[in-house]
Amino acid sequence: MKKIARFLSVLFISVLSSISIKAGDIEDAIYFSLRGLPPFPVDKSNYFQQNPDAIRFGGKLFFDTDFSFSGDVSCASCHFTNSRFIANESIPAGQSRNFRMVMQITGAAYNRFYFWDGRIDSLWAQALEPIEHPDEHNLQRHEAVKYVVNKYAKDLDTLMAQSDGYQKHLMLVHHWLTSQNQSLPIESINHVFALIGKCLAAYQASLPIDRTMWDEVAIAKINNQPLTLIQEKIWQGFNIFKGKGRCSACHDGPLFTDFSFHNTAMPTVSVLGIEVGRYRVLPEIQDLEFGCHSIYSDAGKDDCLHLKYLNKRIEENFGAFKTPTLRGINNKTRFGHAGQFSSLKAMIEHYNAPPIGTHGKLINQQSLSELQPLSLTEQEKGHLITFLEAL
Amino acid sequence: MSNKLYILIITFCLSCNVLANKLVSDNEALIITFDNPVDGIGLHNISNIGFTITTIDDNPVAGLGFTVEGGMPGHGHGLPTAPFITEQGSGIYTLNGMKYSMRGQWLLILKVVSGEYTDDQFTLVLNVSL
Repeated sequence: MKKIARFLSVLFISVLSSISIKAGDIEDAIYFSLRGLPPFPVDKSNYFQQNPDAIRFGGKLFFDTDFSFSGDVSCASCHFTNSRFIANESIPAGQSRNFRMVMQITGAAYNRFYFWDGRIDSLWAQALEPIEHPDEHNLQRHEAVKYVVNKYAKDLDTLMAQSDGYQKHLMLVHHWLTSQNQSLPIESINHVFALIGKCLAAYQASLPIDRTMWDEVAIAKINNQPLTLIQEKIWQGFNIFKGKGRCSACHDGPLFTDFSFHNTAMPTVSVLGIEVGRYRVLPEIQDLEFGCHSIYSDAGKDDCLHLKYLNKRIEENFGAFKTPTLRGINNKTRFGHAGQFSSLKAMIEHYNAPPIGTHGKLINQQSLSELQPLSLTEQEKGHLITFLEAL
Repeated sequence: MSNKLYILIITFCLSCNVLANKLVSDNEALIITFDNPVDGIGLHNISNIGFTITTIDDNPVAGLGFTVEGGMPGHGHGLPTAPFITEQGSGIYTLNGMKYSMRGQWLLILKVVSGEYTDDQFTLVLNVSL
């Protein structure tokens, strides 16, 4: 009798454990797939973020190569390839540019800080930097505004009808354009320039995120459907990704990023030298010309919480770079913030046996790298690559 | 009977999620009581959480200064924001600017650095979920 009771209790425990594991699988499948993607956060610093007219106008600007000094550079030059919103790594934006890798723009609206070092705190403000960058659009600010006001007058009028705030600035810019010998209305030019960024941001925020092979696997798991052979391999890779591989320690959630900054002992690139990364940009970030706190922001006094509670600790910011999304990583040819690795395999080897790293020994000989050796087997690395390629 | 009890306990443990609303300090001199679960603010939200501090015999403790530290020890990273504590009076305080950047186990240490009970601290191990 006692034996039967013991057998039954073991059986019950096994059943409960298996139910628990399945529930965990389903929870993970939701958490890491588009099924678990929350609505993107409203950026209160951009009044136009969800405005359909701003989205349409932003889309026109995004693809407009005339919106550049050379007449052949647009936002799409780097962010749109083969009819998809993926980085174009074959064309460095500017021949002499020691650039970091181009970021994926789908899903960008979920971020709070932009660029690899997070030096800008709003998507609309980020969109402005390439316009003036000498290796990208290479336009002076007033030239950019002049071009847009002349070419897109109707679009601007439509937006002005919906917001009083910009009308007087647009009028002053018009007056400057039609008058001789009048000095630049700098503040008004800045307001219209900011509006350009806000419409570009609205367009980028409107872009859908591609459903991938990984999402299909996740949906099959959620629906308790049998996996195909390749789907099983992807799932095995996912288990390494979130388990022994420790990848999800930073590449978390449906976009495979925690939107934070980490020191992962990345090798230096000779043309860039030792990069301080996130730590270098922190002193100025609360007082940017264009950003959540600026006079060109639509945010209220208490809306910029990401700046109010900014973590500036050297231990967590020195040599740290943004966790990029891994979605679409199979389209990339270089990996790491400065393209340090030429293959996923090389990248995984770095994480598997991490060096202390240049950045890791600069503070009182204390390692700042967050990496730990993983001891992945060749088979596990293979599964991991299969999973990553499904993203 | 004993088997049923066993199954009941396991079922409970599989579904339970211990929320850290109330905690005794490391030196067992103070009690912190959060107005809301400190691990219940979701992901990527920056939130403020009110709490009270009392002695073990339930007297409010005013005038404490705190530092806030923490992170995900298992992942090797710290807190994504720089939260701080302000006092509203009569042992009533607010933990300002808390944020979790992912689900999982977080460590939060609220260390008393000024006022009575200096060097005591609250060590919270939090299981943050969606």
